Amino acid sequence: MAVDFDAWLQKPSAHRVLLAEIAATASDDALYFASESFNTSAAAATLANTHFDGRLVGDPTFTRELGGVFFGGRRTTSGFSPLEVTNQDGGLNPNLREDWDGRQITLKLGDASWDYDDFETIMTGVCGSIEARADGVILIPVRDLSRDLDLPLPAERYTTGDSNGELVPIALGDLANVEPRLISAANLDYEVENSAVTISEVYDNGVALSGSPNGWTDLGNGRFRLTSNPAGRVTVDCTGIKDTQSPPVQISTIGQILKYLLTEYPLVDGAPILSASDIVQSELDDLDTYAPYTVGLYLRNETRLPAVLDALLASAGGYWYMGRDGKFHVGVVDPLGVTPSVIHRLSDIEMSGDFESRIAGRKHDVTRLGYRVNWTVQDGDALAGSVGESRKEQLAKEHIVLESGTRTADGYVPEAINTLITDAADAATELSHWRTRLSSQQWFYTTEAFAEPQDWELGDTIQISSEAGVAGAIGPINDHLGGKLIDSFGEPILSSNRLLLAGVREHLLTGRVTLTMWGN
Amino acid sequence: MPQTFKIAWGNHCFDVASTDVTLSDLTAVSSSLGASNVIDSRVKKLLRATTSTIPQIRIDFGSAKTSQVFAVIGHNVSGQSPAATVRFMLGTTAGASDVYDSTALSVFEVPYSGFPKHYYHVASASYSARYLTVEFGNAPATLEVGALWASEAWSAAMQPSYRVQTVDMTESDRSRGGQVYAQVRRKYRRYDIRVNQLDFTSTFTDTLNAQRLLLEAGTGEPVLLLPKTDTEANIHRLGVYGYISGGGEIQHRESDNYELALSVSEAL
Repeated sequence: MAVDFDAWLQKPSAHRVLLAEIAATASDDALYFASESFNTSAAAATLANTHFDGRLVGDPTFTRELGGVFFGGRRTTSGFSPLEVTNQDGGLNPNLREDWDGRQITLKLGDASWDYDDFETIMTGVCGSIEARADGVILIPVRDLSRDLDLPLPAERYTTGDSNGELVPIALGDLANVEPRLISAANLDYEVENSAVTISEVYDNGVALSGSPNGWTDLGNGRFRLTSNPAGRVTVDCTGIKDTQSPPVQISTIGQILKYLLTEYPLVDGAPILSASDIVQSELDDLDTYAPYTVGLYLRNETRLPAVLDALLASAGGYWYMGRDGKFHVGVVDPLGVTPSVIHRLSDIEMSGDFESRIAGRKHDVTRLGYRVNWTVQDGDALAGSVGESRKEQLAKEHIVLESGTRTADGYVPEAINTLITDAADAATELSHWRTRLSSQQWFYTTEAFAEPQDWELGDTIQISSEAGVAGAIGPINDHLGGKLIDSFGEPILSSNRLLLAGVREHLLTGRVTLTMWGN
Repeated sequence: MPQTFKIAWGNHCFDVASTDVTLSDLTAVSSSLGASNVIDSRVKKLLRATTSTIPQIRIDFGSAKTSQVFAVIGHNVSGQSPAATVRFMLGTTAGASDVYDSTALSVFEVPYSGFPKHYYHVASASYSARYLTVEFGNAPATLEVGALWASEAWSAAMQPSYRVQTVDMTESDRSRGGQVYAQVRRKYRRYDIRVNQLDFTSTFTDTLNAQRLLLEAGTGEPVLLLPKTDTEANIHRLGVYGYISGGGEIQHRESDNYELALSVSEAL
């Protein structure tokens, strides 16, 4: 009998059982643990007739926190509390010497009365290094799969030529003034990228070579040849590669670049790090709909993939994380006021006095946004004399900066938010989003509530409302506060306020949820 | 009035190796739910096996062991008509019944739902043999057995006083708004037992047995507690398989009069 998992999660009295499956390795068998002993049936479609040892103890929680530029600049994180596995009988002593670090672990949640097939996977991750405590409890750290993404980029190096051993650059989107690799000094051959790109101009010390005596020839496949020795630094304006689809599509948006780097670029041993089924295409599509910007990304020196993902998402006020389902997810911090697709209504807040608030950064009087990355910053004095003053000024800066708002004598002028956006109109649109988010004071609110676990996604919208849904009033639990929900500064939180879910800790076996919300 | 209280510990079945357990007319459905699970004390770590003509589980103790109390812990056979039967045999060779044969005993169906089912049998005397055979009649197509039990038992000269309570470890909390947060856990029974006037007759046997119980079983080894063994109904309604969870003290009340107090919590 198929079960209604969502309906079950809403029952405070549900008899919740957590299952943990730790995958086998070449030398070690799979391990199966549960919060209470559990046997799969003979009829289970997968993993039939298997015993899950009732060794899981403690209060397992799953925590996610939104990162990105709005939230302290840190990375979006998700993680299970370390699984506590009792070993007081010594039954797991032989397993303590096994390799745990990096083993895949799958966590499932369901009712004690259900068969295995009805349990829902709530997280796919990897184990960390275990710790055997003196009290007979083994701690198994559980990490999401984001660690798998922490890889160097670019991944390929030249094996011949004058750039032998150097990294092969990756050119994506609309790029200005990138510095190619010299692959043959004898022939004056350069390479922007080792696949087809459209080179629109080549510069020598800032001077465009097209039509000049020192011209250049496009050799195809990302290469070009100078007709004579350059006087200084050689740089290029170009449009990066197309994807590997049929027919190939020009990669230019954030969603397209994310998809290429994760599912097409040969990042590990000549193969992509993720498959197409490991990403949520609809989320990438939504991202490109919300922020349909042309961006540019040139990777010439070694960096790490997560840093690249952060930079791309920051260009749309977005964030990424590896979800409980083992998939790569993206989202954007929608400017408040846009109609959200999901609104959660807190049915019951445990302790109104625990509705804590703290300032989420300083309000912007002006907001500044950088766009059109100059990938090779060049000192104006070292440029050729024929380079005009305005171009010299442009080449000396990493970004063009737009500003919105009114500066005041004692107002706060923050650092520019640097993006990979290349078009001025796109930059103006994105700047307007940031103004909406940051021109008023934003807060973090934290509270604990009863709400079914597994129902929360970072970025969801939360609206505080009364039990009857009447705007301006708060539920009956706050009657002792005069019908108002107040934060810890004593200010009322209006039911009309929409808050964005910036962090959530789910207590999987009790239905208790700790929420951190961002908004004003 | 005969004293029918019995408590058993030192299960011989838990002392053997997995190679000492063999199945006859039973085929384990998986290695995870294999034959060796019947010598594991965990109730829900099952042997799950398909049955044919005369299903038997045989255990070789390695040498002759003395037993009076037998049990099938965590079974799935039915006591409803036709009642399944369980037959305990002790022999000098594998599968033999030359030392003791309980004959086929109809399984008593306890009317508690949601709890593991156990079948207990108390022989009229103790018997010593190397081979135990447990045979099932009217068995389901797929038999489940959590563990087997064969051991001696201690029956105090005095009938103990006891209380039994149901322990619900479900943790619940309530918000100011009335919402309940609950971590539901299984309920189990706990017996608080007090046996007084031990060795009032100066034989000291009971006090020594009480000491053996506390030293040999302690809180880490399972016990079978059968408060009343006068009828099949009382054996199965009141009997529990569990662990000593509290008390565990022997008090000297007066000359030749000792009192044992302990708690036994049901294992699930």
